[in-house]
Amino acid sequence: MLTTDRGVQLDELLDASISDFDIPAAVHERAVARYGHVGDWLSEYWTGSAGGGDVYPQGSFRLGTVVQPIDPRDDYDIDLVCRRDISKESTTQELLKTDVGNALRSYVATGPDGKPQLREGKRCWTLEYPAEPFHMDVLPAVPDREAAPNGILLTDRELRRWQHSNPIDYASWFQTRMAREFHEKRAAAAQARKMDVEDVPEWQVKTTLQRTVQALKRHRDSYFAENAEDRPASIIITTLAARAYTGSGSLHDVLVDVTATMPTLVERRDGVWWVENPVQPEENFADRWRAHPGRDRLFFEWIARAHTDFAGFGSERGVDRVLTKIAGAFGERPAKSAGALYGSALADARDRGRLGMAGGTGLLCAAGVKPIPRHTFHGDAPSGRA
Amino acid sequence: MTRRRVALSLAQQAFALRARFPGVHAALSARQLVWIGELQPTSLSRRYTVELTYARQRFPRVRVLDELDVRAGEKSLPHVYSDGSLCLHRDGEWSSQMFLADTILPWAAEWLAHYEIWFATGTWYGGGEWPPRRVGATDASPAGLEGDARRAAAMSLTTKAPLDELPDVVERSAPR
Repeated sequence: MLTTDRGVQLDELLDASISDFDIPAAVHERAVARYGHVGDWLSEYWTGSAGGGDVYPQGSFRLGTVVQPIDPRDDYDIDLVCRRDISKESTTQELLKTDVGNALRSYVATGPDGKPQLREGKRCWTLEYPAEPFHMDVLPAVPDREAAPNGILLTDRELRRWQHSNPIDYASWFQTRMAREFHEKRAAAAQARKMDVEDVPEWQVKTTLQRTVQALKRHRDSYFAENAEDRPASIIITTLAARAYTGSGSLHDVLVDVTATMPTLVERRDGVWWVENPVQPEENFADRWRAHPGRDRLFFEWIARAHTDFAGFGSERGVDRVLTKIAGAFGERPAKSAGALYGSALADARDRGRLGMAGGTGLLCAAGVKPIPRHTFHGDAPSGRA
Repeated sequence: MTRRRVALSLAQQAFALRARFPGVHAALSARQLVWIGELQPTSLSRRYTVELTYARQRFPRVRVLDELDVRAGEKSLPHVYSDGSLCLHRDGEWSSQMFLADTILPWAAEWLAHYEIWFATGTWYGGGEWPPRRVGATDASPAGLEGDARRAAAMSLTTKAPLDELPDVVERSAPR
């Protein structure tokens, strides 16, 4: 954090702020262990039945774009697919849901780690972990033979029609959008930690695109805090951001450029707004806007506001003012956390004899020949303090 | 850092300041040196006009000439004396054998960086001691003092502090 480059310093503050609402590593690891255990147990359970099954994450957990709920008392939603390897002709939506529910009920009855409880939702089952900050929505699915090997068919809300979905191929598409940066960052992380590249867990690498999606989702969550039901869907945000992302650039530039491009990528087809699913072109992610007039307008208003807010980070003079803008966009806590990280890094560098000051300007930087000597700030306590 | 046994002259200090900040001219008289220059502590920071005053046998004094806002809910800036000058070090951490350009000015730049972070977060991350423990200070526990009483106590300890004479040991260390 001892850069004298304005753009780099801004990116470091932004990255520190966004990582504040990332899912903590320990929570992530426990979530992976929990659903891994569910998956192992179910495949054992279904051995000998007509078809096996697989459990895997979809959505933001798979994409690495999870954001902490604004209210820290709220849970992370982790979306899982439970694919039963049986043909859709051999079952009905209700039977499938019951079948998966019975299996999960048996699983929960074994008293596994985390003591999950099972709750029935409209089209999914939810595993609730009393002591964990997350719950897992398990969506029953069967393979979609028309979109093998990764396509699946999900039950719809009314349990009537099969819905095509393909979270695995969607995640692959998302990853190709950031592939180069991902490999560069993973290699850099491996070098920094003196590890083999393959040993750096993929989820620990965060690309500019992932950070941008997280920033957008958090901005949306606070912008729509009072009318959450009108929030633009994460899948729309993620798809448009990934399409707008050109593959490189500083975090701040990408935040600004992507939010300028995103609204231009929403298509108008026969009077209907379209955000095409990149791996299932017949699916329109913005389909729900038709049933809820006004959501299109809210989306365009919000993305314009996000663009203005993100651009504003770059026009401020003063770490205090930049942090105030960050607080306005992402909330007080991420801004404070970035300030804490930055201030502590400065003090730590000074205490280790690694902080210097550039002549002519006074810019603090990595120590050259003249590290700043240790010293102790002193003086009157601010009288307003308790 | 090279430690010398005799105090640096004002001219030596001015020369070193000039080397570090070529564009800034320090006003030098027989008894006092005044350096007024701009410091920008980080690339995102504002530029602050800083006045460094140094007279022999006194501690250097640094003031920020721009008006510094006090964070809402606080009554004063952190780590400043009651006359508004910056509290950059404990007595024993600076001596007249040290170059101002390598100590006081970088410390002031650090203060400014931590000021901006403090203003946004409400926390001072630069480390330090609160309140000061000057020579002769009674051990008044800040926790036991409230509001004006505590402020008055702190002020009485430090009002003259920046201009206090340096401890004898610094000035009298003789050449070997």
